[in-house]
Amino acid sequence: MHRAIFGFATGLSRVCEVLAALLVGAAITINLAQVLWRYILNDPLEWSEEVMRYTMVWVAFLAGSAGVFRGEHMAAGMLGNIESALVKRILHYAILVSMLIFSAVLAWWGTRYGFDTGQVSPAAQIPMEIPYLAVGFGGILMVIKLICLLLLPIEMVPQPGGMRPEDIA
Amino acid sequence: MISLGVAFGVLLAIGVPVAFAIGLASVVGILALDLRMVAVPTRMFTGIDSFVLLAAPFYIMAGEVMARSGITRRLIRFSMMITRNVPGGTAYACVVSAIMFSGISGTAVGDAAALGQIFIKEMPKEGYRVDYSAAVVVASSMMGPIIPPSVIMIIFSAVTQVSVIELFAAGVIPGFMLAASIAIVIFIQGLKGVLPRPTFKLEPGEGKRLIVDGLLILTLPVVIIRGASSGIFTTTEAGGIACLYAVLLGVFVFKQLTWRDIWETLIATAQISASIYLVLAASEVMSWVMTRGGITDHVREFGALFGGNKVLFLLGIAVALTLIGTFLEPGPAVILFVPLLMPAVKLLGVDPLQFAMVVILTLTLGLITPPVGVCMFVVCRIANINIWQLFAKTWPFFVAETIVIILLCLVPGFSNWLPYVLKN
Repeated sequence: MHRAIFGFATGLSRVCEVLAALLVGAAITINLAQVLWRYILNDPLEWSEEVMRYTMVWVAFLAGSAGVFRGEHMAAGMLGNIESALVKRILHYAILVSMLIFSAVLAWWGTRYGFDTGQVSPAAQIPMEIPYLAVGFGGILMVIKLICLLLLPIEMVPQPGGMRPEDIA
Repeated sequence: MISLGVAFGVLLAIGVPVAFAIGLASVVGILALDLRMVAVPTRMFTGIDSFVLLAAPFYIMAGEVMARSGITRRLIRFSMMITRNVPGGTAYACVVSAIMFSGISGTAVGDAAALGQIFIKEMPKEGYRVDYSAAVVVASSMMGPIIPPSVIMIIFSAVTQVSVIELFAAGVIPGFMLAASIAIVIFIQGLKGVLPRPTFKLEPGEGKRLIVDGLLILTLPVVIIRGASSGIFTTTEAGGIACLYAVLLGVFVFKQLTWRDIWETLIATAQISASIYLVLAASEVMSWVMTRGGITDHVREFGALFGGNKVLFLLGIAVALTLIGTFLEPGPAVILFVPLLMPAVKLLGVDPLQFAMVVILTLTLGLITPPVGVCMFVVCRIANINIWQLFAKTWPFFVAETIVIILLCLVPGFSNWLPYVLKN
């Protein structure tokens, strides 16, 4: 059961990351195309800047949610050198639950706000739901991954980056 | 307001990732002030939906490509060649490499990781202590965000409307001042005990090749600054061009970059950008809550403390931000505090570029001071020492870099002379 959860969350994170990487590649291509069209083809693109901005919003939430599962987000943590296994356990769950609450706020309010607009973007004429929903969608992905992490035993949780207890001891 | 502060402190202390600690503390603030929760997603979205900020991932990508295409190694050989005849040459080479590498990378962490991988392994072979080698690397990494391009300057520009390219130009002189301050510390330490002589040997014919490679690599920062300050392309476009140039160099000139490397670079760029963007997005929410909670009045009181004296004001800011910077990353610190301070900056007639340099240097210095500093962690992990062992060797550099900040507070010309010249 634990293995299945782990595999599912790892796979989901990988998919998010691959999508985000493709979007980064797209953003770079559009950026270069913008210069090319302006100078070589003398026909400046109007939609490019907006599309790049929205692309990066999606990158932030897709790759950001993958980072949640891998424990890659930067953390400070000043209590890292505590030895007691019980305190470590409590901290572990306190951190995950705090993250879960915020992700749930994003998921709930993000999707409500995302579906609410009916506007289109000024230059590219994209329905604004598409960029807005990145927030809510990212929130949902984070909630899923955090629930997976809560279900896994501590030993199976990927260790947070940024700082290890021994760095501070 | 107080509940927000307490929640933030507690969340950070127990080890909640910075983006989530900032976000959840803002949620607490929203509940306490009875504001609308929908502001969380809306402010997060507007926080990262910015044209200026868009430049950041491109410079991150360019740095990542450079690191994988053998450019780091070439720059380091090039620096070692320059300093090979001086006692302590390899320590100086680290500083020289940091100057050049900072012209490509936009973050201090990027510098610390790239230089640390090599210098922390190579310097002990010549007889340096490991902790000393790590200290030289971490002190040098400070130049990453000061010498353009710079991700933190992009963030600064996004929240203040100060032009990115002027900020980039403003960073050049303070960047070299940092380099000089580090070199002076190494020199003074060299007087006490004899620093090891470099064991660096040029391979036959390597010298000429290194010079050509070095010039090819260093063309990039020059193109970025000249191109963007003359308005040929925007700073964001310059970032895209930097990526393309780095890929072309890696694939066709140095013949080291594979498709697999490029793909891994894209993944790494997505990860690094996302973690920066999320912190910024959450900071935008907190900034909004703090403004609603009336922090502007407190900041005005803080500004009034200095009785209209520009230098005292800047020094005061430097002290306050040093404290803030020890536990908060520069990115969120800039988003949270700079917009609040800008009115005071205008009122006192402080040059925004000088203010920017003082803020950015001070906050970056926080990356190399305990208890929290991401550059320290990176370097400690490579050197396998803890942060207090590292700081025992870092503090002379820390003092020297603090003196640079004080000089920047005193003399506006260090920050605004070059942007002025380039503009005219």
